[in-house]
Amino acid sequence: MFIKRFMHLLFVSSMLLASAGVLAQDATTYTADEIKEASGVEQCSQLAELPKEFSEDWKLAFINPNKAQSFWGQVSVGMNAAAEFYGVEFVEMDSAGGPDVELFETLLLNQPDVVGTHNAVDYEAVAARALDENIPYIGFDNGQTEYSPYVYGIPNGIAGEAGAELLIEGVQARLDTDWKDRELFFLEFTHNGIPACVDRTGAAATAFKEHFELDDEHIIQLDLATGATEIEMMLSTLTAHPDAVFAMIPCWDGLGIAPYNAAVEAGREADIMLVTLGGDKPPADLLLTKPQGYYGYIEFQPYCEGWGWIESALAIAEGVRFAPYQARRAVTQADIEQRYAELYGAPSS
Amino acid sequence: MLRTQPQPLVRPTNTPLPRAVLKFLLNNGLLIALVIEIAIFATASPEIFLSTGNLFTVLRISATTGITVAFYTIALIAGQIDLSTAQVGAVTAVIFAWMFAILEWPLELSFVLAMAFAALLGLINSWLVIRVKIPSLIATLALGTLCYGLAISVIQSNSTTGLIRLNRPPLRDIINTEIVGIPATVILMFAVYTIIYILLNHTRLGAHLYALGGNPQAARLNGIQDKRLVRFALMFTAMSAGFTAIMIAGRGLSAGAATPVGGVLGGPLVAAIFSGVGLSGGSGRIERTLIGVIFLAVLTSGMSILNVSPFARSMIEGLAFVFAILIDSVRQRIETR
Repeated sequence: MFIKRFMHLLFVSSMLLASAGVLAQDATTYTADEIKEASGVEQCSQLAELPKEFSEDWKLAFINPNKAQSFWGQVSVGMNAAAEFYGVEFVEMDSAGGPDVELFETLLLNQPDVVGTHNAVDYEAVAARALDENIPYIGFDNGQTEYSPYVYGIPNGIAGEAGAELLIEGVQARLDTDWKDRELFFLEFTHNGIPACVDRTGAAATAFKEHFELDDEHIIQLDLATGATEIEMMLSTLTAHPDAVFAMIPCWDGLGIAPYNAAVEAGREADIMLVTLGGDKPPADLLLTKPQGYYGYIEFQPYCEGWGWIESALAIAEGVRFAPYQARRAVTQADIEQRYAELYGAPSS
Repeated sequence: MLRTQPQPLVRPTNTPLPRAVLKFLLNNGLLIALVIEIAIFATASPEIFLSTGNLFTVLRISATTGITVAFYTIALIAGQIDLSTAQVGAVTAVIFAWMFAILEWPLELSFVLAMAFAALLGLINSWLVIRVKIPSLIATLALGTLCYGLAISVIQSNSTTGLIRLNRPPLRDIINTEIVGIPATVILMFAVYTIIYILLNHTRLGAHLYALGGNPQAARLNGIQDKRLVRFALMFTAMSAGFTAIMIAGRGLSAGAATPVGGVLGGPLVAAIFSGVGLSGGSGRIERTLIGVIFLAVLTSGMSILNVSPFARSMIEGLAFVFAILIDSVRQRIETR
C-alpha cells in the first residue's frame, strides 16, 4: 500500500516537474507555432529557438540589393517584420543595384552586432571588411566565403539545380507522350553581367544536360546582356528550330514568362516547357490558369527568407544553433490552387 | 516716342545687382545645391552623416567614379563621346584578374599589361574615329560591345560563377592603403583633378582641346593637331576606365563582365553631363565636374543612410538631374546674350 502510494506520489510529482519544465521552456524561448502565427499567411518555419529575453540589445544591419524588385522588396518586409517581432533594432540600407562595399563603411557607423549583404560581386569583400572589425557576417544566398563561417539562404547553384529537377520531371512526362522522338533543346535565359544568374542558370543547364545526355549544341544560352530582348531571342530560336521542343529555365520569373507568352503568340505553346525560379505573385497568377507549357516554379518564399535571416543573425549573436533555410518548395499545376489560397486568398473567378 | 527711347540706357544702371546675383547663382548653382544637400542630410542624420567615417565613404564613392569622369570631361570638351567606358573598364579588370588571379603573374606585371591593354582599346577607338571617320558615339558603342563579349568569354573560360575571384594578396591591402588616415584613392582623385585643372586652364594643350571641341574646322585651320588631341582624349579615357575598374574589382575582391565603372552614380557620361559639360564639345569646367561627382556621391550616401524608398530615390535622382540641366541651360543662355 505504501509502495503504491509512493509510486503514485512519484508519478504526480514527475508530471508536475515535467509540466513546469515545458512551461518554463515556453516562457523563455519562442516556439515554432509562435513563429508560424507571427509570420501570418507565409507560415515561416522557425530556424532557431530564440529566447524571449535577449542577453543584450542587439542591433542587426543588412544592405538590400534593390528593394524596388518584388523579390527583394518581400525580403525586406520579412526582415522588418521579424525584427519588430523580436524587438531588436534593424538598420537597413539599399544599394539600388550598385556595389555594397562602399556603403558598408557607412553601415558600420551604426555599430551593428551582426551584418549581412547579398551582392554576389562584392560580398566577399564585405565579409573580409566585417572580419577586420570582428563583426559576424552572414550573407544571403551566396554560399560559403573564407571570411565568415556562417552560411544562409539558398545558394544560387542549388536553386538552379532544384529548378532543373522540377523541369526534368515535367519534360520526362512529355517525352513519354506527345514529345516522343522530338528534338529537345534546353534554353537558358540568363544575364551574363549578373554573376548570380550565371551561377543559377548555369547549374540548371549542367543538371539538365547530364540527365538527358544532351550535347553542347542542344544547350542554348540566351543572354539578356547582349542587348537583345528575351522575346526577340525566343522568337528567333523558335524560327531556327521549327520542329524542335524546348525546356526553359530563366534566371528570374519574369525573364521566363515574357518569352513564354511570345511562344504562345507564335502558336508554339505545345513545344515549350517552362519552370521559373522565385515564385512571386505574377508567376502564381499565370500558373493558376494552368497553361500547357508552364510546369511550375520553385518558390523561395522571400518573406520567410528575410524573416529567417533575422532569426539566424540573432542566433549568431546569442550563440544559439540555427537550422539552414529550406524553402525550396516546388509549386506545380497540381497544387497551385491550394498554395495560391494560402498566400493570396481564394483566386477570383 | 520720346518716352520710350531712354529706357535701354537706364535699365543697365538700375538692375546690375540682381543680374550679378543671378549670374553668381547660376555659375555656382551646383556648389550651392551641394551645400543645401549636405545641410539637409546633416539635419536628418547628424550623427552618422557628419561623421568622419561617412565623409571618407562619400569621398571613396566619388573617387571610384571621379577619376574616369575627370578624363571623360576632357574627351567631351574635345567633342568626343565615349560610350565604351563601362565595357572597356570591365574587360580591363577581367584581363587583369585573369593574369593576376588565374595565371598568378606578379601584381605589377598584371597591372601594367592590363593598363597597356586599356590604352590599346583607347587607340582602337581613336583609329576608328580618325582614320575610318566614324563618329565617336558609334565607334565607341561598337568597340564597347566587342569588349563586353571578350570579357564574357574570358570569364566563362575560367569560372562557372560569372566572376573571377581576386582575393590573392597583397591586392586588397594595396587598394585599401591609407596615407595619414586618408584613403589613397581619395588622394589620387584630388591629384588627378588638380593636374587636369592645370592642363585645361594653364597649358596650350588645354586651350587646343577647348578650341577643337568648340569648332573643329576652325581649330584645324589654325594648325591645331586635331588627330593627336582626339587620340590623347580617347586613350586616356580608356585608361582611366580600366584603372577605375581594376580599383573597384580589387576592392570588391572579384572581377565580372559588369564591373561598375560608373559605381553607384551611373555612367561617367551621366555624371559629366550632370556637372555641366556640354555634349557638343568646347565647354565644361573640371572643378564643376568634381563638385558634380561629390554631389552625386553625397546623394547616394545620404539616401542610403536615411533608407529612402527606391521609388522616392529614383524620383529624387531624376529631379536633381533635371534641375542641374536646367541651371546649366539657363546659364548658357544668359552667357550667349
